[in-house]
Amino acid sequence: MSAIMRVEKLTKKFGDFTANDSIDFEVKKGEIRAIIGENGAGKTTLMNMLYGLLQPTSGQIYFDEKPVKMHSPADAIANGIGMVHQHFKLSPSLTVYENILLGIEIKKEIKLGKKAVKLPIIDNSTERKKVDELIKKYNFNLDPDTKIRDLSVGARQRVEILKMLYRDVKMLILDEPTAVLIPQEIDELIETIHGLKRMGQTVIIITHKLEEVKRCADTISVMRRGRMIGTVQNDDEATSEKLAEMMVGRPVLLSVIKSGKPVNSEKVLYEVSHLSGKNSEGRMVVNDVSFKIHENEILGVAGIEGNGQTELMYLLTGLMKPAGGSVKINGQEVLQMYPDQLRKNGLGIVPEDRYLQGLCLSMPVSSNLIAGYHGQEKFCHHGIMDKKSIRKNMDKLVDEYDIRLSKDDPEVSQLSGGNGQKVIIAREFSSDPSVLLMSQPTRGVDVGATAFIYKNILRMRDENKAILLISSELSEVKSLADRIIVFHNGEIVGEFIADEVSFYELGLYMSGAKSMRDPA
Amino acid sequence: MLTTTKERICNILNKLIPLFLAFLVGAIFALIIGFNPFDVYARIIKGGFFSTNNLMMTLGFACPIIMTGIATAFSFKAGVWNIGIEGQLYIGAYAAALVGGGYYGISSLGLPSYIHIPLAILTGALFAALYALIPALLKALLNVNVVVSTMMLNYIATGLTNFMCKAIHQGDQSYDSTYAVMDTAILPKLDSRFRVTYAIFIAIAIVVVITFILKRTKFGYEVNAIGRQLEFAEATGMRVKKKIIILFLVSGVIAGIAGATEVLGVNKNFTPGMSGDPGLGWEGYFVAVLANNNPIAVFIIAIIFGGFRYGSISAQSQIGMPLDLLNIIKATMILFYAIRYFKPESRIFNIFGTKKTAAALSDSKEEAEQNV
Ligand SMILES: Nc1ncnc2c1ncn2[C@@H]1O[C@H](COP(=O)(O)OP(=O)(O)OP(=O)(O)O)[C@@H](O)[C@H]1O
Ligand SMILES: [Mg+2]
Repeated sequence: MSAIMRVEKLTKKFGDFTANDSIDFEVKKGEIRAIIGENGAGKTTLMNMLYGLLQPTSGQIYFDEKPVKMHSPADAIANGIGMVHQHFKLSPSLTVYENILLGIEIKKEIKLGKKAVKLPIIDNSTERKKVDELIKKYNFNLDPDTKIRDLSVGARQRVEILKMLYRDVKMLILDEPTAVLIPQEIDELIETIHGLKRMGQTVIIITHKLEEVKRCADTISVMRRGRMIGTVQNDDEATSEKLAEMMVGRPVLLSVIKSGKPVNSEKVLYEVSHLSGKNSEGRMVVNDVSFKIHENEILGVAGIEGNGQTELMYLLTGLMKPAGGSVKINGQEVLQMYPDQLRKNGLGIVPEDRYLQGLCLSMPVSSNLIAGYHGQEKFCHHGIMDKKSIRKNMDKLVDEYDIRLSKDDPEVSQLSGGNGQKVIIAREFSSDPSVLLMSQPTRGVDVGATAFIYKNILRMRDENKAILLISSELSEVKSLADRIIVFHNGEIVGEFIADEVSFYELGLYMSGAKSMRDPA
Repeated sequence: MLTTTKERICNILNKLIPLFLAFLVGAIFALIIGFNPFDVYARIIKGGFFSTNNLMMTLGFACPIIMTGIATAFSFKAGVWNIGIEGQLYIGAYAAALVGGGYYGISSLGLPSYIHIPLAILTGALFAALYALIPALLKALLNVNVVVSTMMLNYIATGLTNFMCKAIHQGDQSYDSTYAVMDTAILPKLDSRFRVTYAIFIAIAIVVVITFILKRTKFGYEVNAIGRQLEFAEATGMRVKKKIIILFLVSGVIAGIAGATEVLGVNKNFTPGMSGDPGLGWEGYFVAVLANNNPIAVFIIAIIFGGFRYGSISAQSQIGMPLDLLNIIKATMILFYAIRYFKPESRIFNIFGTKKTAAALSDSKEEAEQNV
């Protein structure tokens, strides 16, 4: 088969920093290509150049054997290249078909003699029909009339994909599409991708989950520090271990090894009792939740996203007004405290939405690395910031947590996604909290860094901390936690010893099929 | 964060082009009303800047604009679109005029200058701050849109002072005004020939203090974060509501000082039109926008604006050029300033109507919408 897309000596520099270094790379027509690499390896940068979001510093892109130059996504789409980002660009109040035709609306026509004249009125029925045909053709599970705001994340993603397909792209780029999905939606997405392939599409997918790579890719390309290291067939020889080694340049330990240090069940470090919270519409989203975390214990929270875990985190971190209950750190009531007071009282917080709450995109890394602790004596004396110690703090953490920066103290917006997450992890872990609350701590983080974060979580556990781990990745919860509680509809419906429960059993509780609350 | 020279050059060009375009538009208007634009501009620039004497006059005009510019920039930095500086300035000016003018028995106290002047300035600052507290509380407690509340309060302030001046505190002049400021309350000039008073040192001190606060203090760190990303600020425990109230109060104090020093040093009484047209508060708004809320840049641009103000007065007296021409230039400058002409990553001249410009504009709009 011939190459649909080829790049030659493609280089992208940001100032003095080379994000993509003379990349030679081709994708064959009709294949599913996975691109993997460490955080900051340059995957997104490469894809952004193919989609016209960034202009190469030098080098040439060929599409269908023709040299192409793209100044904007519109150019790329016109050339047949489409891309779906992690952050969707859909209008929540419009329907599926309206979103798909946004910007290329079909106008009503009237016949004046032999000429057809376009009226400035949108022809909704034709639009609807066309989108419906497309949905049927690709067998997407969608209704063209649903409003976007009523759709799940996975369905929204399918709308984004349809948007590209409607515009007749021949190659579709998906940058970390699974990072925002729940496991079941990931299965659906992989099914969708295989369907696209059967219809003759070429797909490029970026993901940090090697298991997903193994399940969907035909070929796998590996990037390391701005270079294309190589491309391999996805066969039995391409084991996760081997891929990880290609990415990092040395062997990576992928399995989690616990120390076996017992939970200190004598000492409760974190105690939540009868905690409830209502959302802005007055619905009880966290309902009478109670749990304890002991010293040397990791408590995992399993559950399908949207069952109150987000709000639980808001309640525990002082971002939402509770409807009742109590939260104690080491016996001290902390429920109504502000986030900085909580941190002062020994709480570490890794929030779910890193770009909204965890990081300030337009502030430099050094400022982000003190956020939430910026009022503490270490960084601030009598209201005046201590520049030197802020600087020292950054140098230390960047080194210790291997945060890859393209220049000295850049704004966080210039960091790759995974490195942004590492900034939060470094900040919260280095403060040496006695209780650590984490939501999706390894989302978008590469295998090496994930292993590193796991190791540190386990180290903190062994250093007499109490840890709450909320994650939509069941395997993460199960392999790290000592005990697991399952959330459904804002309530705890099950509690298990992590080693004694099966994925299947957890799944039953997560979906609401079983519950400890009413044993009916 | 600017690092590469390319970014730096782009940044400077992006600042200079609006200036150039605005003067171009001004030139067209000058031609329409029958003036030679080169002659007009030469006179304005010469009149504003080209001699020590002219510069001293310019500084006098710039002094209140520096303060109102800083007051605006300080709020804007936190994404609080407080455009109520004009109203606060009026309240501050009026309160200072009453104290300075010896109303309510103050004239019989026989206060020496070193008490009377500070007392008048501080009273102005206090009342302006109290006036600024109204939109602050409306925002913090009821989440009332700041632009709307401060805008309406501007009208109330000018109307209220106008009324009080006519109905209650009318002085002995043939026009509407308060009694003249007593000799003991007059803020002295640096040199009796020129407009500039000792208030210029207060203005400089304000620039220094605000720069320090924004750059080096915890409060400044938090103001920056609040202005950039509200959710982040809340998630890291910055008391956003409290901070918004403090911001309003500080802006109010500065606006009040600007009004008070104008009355005590330059006008020597309160008149309903004391702030000029456009008002000093609005000049400060222009300056803050052009300076991108950077205090040092506010200082420099305010002096340029002061120069324009004085230069156009001399152009008016010499050749009869209407002052409004300069207002057209200032307003168009802001319009042109909203466009990013150069981006570091684009090689070609990226002007008007290209997709990138539109994207950049909509990006900055999104940013603005995110804020308070
Ligand atoms: N606008 C920018 N300015 C400066 N440097 C940048 C910019 N965008 C990206 N970089 C740098 O380029 C490098 C590659 O970034 P890129 O986003 O392509 O990584 P990635 O492979 O997608 O990583 P991740 O897996 O974490 O998403 C990073 O070191 C990043 O800091
Ligand atoms: Mg990326």
